[in-house]
Amino acid sequence: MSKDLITILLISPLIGFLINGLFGKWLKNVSGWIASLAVLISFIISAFFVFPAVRGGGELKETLYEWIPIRSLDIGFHVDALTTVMLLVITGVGFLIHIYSIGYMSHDSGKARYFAYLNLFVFAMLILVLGNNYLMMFIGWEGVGLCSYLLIGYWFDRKSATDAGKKAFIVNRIGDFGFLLGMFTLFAAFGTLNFDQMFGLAETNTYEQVFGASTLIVATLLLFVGAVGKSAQIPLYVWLPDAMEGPTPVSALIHAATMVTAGVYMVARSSILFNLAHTGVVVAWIGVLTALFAATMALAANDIKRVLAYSTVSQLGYMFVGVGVGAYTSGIFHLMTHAFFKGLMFLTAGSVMHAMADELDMRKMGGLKSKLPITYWTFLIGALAIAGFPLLSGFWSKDEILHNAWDGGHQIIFGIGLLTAFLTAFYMFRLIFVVFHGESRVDSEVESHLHESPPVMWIPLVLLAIPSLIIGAIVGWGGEHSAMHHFLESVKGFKHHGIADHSNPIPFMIISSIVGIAGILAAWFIYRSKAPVDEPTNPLHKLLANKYYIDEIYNAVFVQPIRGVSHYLFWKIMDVGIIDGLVNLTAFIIRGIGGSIRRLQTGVVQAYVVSMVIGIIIFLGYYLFIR
Amino acid sequence: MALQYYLILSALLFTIGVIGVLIRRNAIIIFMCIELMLNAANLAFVAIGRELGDASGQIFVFFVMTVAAAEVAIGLAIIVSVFRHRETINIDEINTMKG
Amino acid sequence: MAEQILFIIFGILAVGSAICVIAFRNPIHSALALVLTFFSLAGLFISLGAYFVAAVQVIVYAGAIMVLFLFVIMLLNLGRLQTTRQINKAKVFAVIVGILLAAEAIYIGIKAYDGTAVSPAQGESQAVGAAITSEQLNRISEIESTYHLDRTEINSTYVPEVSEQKSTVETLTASEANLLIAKLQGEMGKPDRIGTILFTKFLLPFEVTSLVLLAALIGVIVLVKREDTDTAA
Repeated sequence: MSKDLITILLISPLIGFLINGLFGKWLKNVSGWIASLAVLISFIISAFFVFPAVRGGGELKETLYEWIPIRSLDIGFHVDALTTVMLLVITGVGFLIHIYSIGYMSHDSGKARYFAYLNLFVFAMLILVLGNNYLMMFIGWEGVGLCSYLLIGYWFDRKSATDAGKKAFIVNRIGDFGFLLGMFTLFAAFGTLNFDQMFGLAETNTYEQVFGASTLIVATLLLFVGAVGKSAQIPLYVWLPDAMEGPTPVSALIHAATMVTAGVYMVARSSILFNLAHTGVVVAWIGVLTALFAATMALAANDIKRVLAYSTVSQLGYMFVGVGVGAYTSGIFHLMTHAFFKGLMFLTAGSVMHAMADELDMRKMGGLKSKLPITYWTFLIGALAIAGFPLLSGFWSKDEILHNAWDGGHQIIFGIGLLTAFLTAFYMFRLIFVVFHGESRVDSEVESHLHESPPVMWIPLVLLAIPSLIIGAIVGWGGEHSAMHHFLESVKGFKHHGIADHSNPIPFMIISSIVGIAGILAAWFIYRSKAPVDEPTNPLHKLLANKYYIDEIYNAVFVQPIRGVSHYLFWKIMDVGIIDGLVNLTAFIIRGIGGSIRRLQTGVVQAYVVSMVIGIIIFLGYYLFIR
Repeated sequence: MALQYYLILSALLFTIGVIGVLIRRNAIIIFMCIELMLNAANLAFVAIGRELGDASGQIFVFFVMTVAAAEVAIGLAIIVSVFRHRETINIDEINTMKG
Repeated sequence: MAEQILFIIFGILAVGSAICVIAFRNPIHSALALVLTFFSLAGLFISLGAYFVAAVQVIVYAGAIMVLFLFVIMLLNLGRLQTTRQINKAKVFAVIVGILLAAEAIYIGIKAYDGTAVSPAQGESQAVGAAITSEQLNRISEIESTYHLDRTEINSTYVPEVSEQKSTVETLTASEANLLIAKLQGEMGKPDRIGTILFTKFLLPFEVTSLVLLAALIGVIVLVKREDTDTAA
C-alpha cells in the first residue's frame, strides 16, 4: 500500500511531463492546469499519507525494483522525517509556483514545453529526495541539473539565456565530478551505496580503509564539492546570478526553493558520515564565507532578480553553516523557511516585472506601492522574514543557526553570520524602498500599463506569505524542544551533533533582532528618498558592482586557456590535421588510383582487342604449360 | 599432308588477321582482317573434318560462310552509317567512348 | 604427292597474300589481296577433298562478300586515301603480342593432336589377308546410313575399284576394307554427299540460317535508310 502510494507520488509529475511533452501542441492552455494537478497529487499524498506515517519516528522503506541485487543498488525509497520535510516543501511550494506560472506564462506560445520541463524537474527532485541510496540521489541530481539547463535556456532564441544555461550546467558538472568521486570512494570503502547499510557500517567502523584513516574525510569532502556546485557556494556560485535569465517562476522554484537546496539535503542525509569525519567545520566555513561574500555583492546590484539571486546564495551559506556545525535540524528548518519567503519574493518580483513590461532595473522603478498593493505587501512580508524581523519565520530559523554556531564553539562564524544578517536586512530593504517607495522614476509609457497581477498570480503570493509569517513560530517555538526538532530528531545522525551545551537562547534572539532592525533602519535612512546611482562612485562600490570581477577572472584563468588548447591542439592538430587528413588521404589515394586506371579506357577499340588477345595468350599459356 | 601442317597454317593466318586488326586504322580494313580470321577457322574445320572422317566439318564451314556473309552486310551498313555522320572511318577519330 | 604440292603452293600463296592484306596502304589493294587469299584457300580446300566447300568459298566469299567490300570502299571514295605509314609504340607492341599468339597457336597445332584418330582410314598395319573387322563393318554401315547409300550401290560401284574379284563388302579383307572406307570418305566432299547430309542431318540449322539471312537483310535496310529530313519536319 505505501509502496503504491509513494510510487504514485513519484510518477505523477512524470506523467504530467509525458502528457505535456507529447501532446503539448494540442493542449496549450490546459497544459498548466495538468501540470499543477500532477504536483497537487504528489502534495496530497505527501501531506495526508506520508506526513502522518512518519511522525513520531516512523520510516517508510520500500524497494520498487532490484537493479543489482548483489550490491544493493535498487530503485527504492527511504522516507523518513528529513525526506518528508523536503517532500512537503517541494510539492507544496512547487504546486503554488505551478499555479502562478499559469498566469505568468499565459502570453508565451511555448508554455506546454515549459510545464513539461517543470514537471520533469519535480520528478527528478523527488527521485533525489526519495532515493535510498546515493546512486538514486545522483540520478535525481543530474536530472534537476538537466531541467535547470532546459528551463534557464527556455527562451532559447536569446543568446544570453542559452549562455546562462550552459554556464549553469557546466559549473554544476564540476561539482558533480566531486560527487562522483565521493561516491566511488564510499563504494570502494563500504561496498554499497545504500544509506542504511552504509551508515550502519560506518558507525561500527567496519569498512575498507581506502585512503587510510582519512577515508571518510576524503569522501565527505568530495561529496561536499558536489554540494558546492549544486548549491552555489564559493567557488562554484557563478552560475546562479546568470540563471536569472530564465522565467521568474523557474528562479523561484529551482533556484530558491528546491534544486539549490539539494546540496544541503545531501549533507544532511550524510550527517553520520560528516559527524564521524568531523569535516562539518569545512562546510560551515565555506558556508559563512559565501554568505558574507554574496551579501556584499547584493549591496551593489541594481537588477531586482540579481539581488534575490545573491540573496539566495547568501542564505544557502547560512544553511550550510547550520548543517556544518552539527545543527542539522536548524539547517533544514532554514531551508524550509527560505523556500517560503524566497519563493515568495521571486514570485513578487515576477509580478513587478509583469506589471512593468519586463523591466528589471530598480533605478527605473519607484513608488510602485500604490499601484501594486498586493505585490507590495507580500513582498514586504518576505523581506521582513529574511531580515530576521522578530517572530517571523526567518527570525526563528536564522537565529537558531547562529545560536548553534556559537554553542558549537565557532564564535567567529557567529560573528560573520551576524554581520551578514545586517547586510541582508540592508540590501533587501534597499530594494523595497527603491522599488516601492519614493518618487516614481518609471517611464511614462510603462506607467500607463501598470496593473496588479491577475488572481491566478496573486493568490499563490498570499498563500506563500502566510507561512512566511507564521510557520516559524508554529514549528520553531521552543528551540530545542520545538515541533520541528521533535519531528526531525528521529533522523539518524541528527541527534548527535557535537554541540555540547545549549545556552540560553534569549540573548541571541535579542541580538539578532537588533541587528536585523538596524539594517532596515539603515536602508531607510539612505534610500528613502534617493535612487541608486547609475555609475559606481568609489572603487569599493565599483568592485562590488562588478561582482569582484570573479567572472572575468574565471574566464581568463579557466575558460580562455581551455578554449585555446581545444582550438589549437584538439581542433587544428588532431581533428583537422590527423583525422581529416587521414580521411582526405584515403580519398586522395583512391582518386589517384582511379585516375590511373581510368587511362585504360582509351576509347580506342584496338587497345581493348590487344588486352583481349593478351588474355587469351595467358589462358592458353596456363593450360598448355602449367597444367 | 599431316593434320599438323594444316593447323599450323590456320594458326598463322589467324594470327595475321589478329595483327591486322590491331595495327590498321581504317575500319574497313579491320573488317577484312576479321574475315581473314574467320577463314582461318574454316580451314581448321575442314582439315580436322577430313582427319576424323566426318563431313560435319564441311557442313559447319558452310554455315560459317553464311553467317559471315550476313555479318559483313550488317557491318558494312554500320560503317556506312558512321561515315555518313562523321565523314571519317579512321578509328582514331571515332573515339567518343574514351574514358 | 599431289596434295603436298598443292598444299605448299597454296599455303605460301595464302600467307603471302594475307600479309599483303595487312600491309598495303591503299584499301583497294588490300581488298584485292584478300581476294587472292580466298582463292588460295579454295585451293587448299580442294587439296583437302572438300570440293563443294571450295566452290562455295569462291562464289560466296570471293564473289559476293569481296564485291560488297569493294562496293563500299568505292562508295565511300576511300581509294584516294593513301595514309602514311606510322610506326609507333602501340603498333610494335601489337605485333609482338600477335607473334606471341602465333607461337602459342602453332604450339597447340603441333602438340595438341597426337595422331590417334578415330578414323580407321589410317589404321594400323594389319596382316594382309585378314578378314574385315567388325569395326570396319560398323563404319561402313555408318557411312551408308548417313549418306543414304545402298549396300548394293557400294557393292557395285566401290568394291570392284578396291578389289577386282570381289563383289560384296563382307568378302573384303581388312586392308581392302581400309581402302574402301578411305575412298568412301574421300567422296564426302562431293556436292551430292554434302547435299544429302545437309538436308537430312543438318536440316534444322539450314532452315535457321535462312532466318539469320532474313534478319541481316532487314537490319541492313533499316540501318542504311536515309532519314527523310524534308518530310519529317
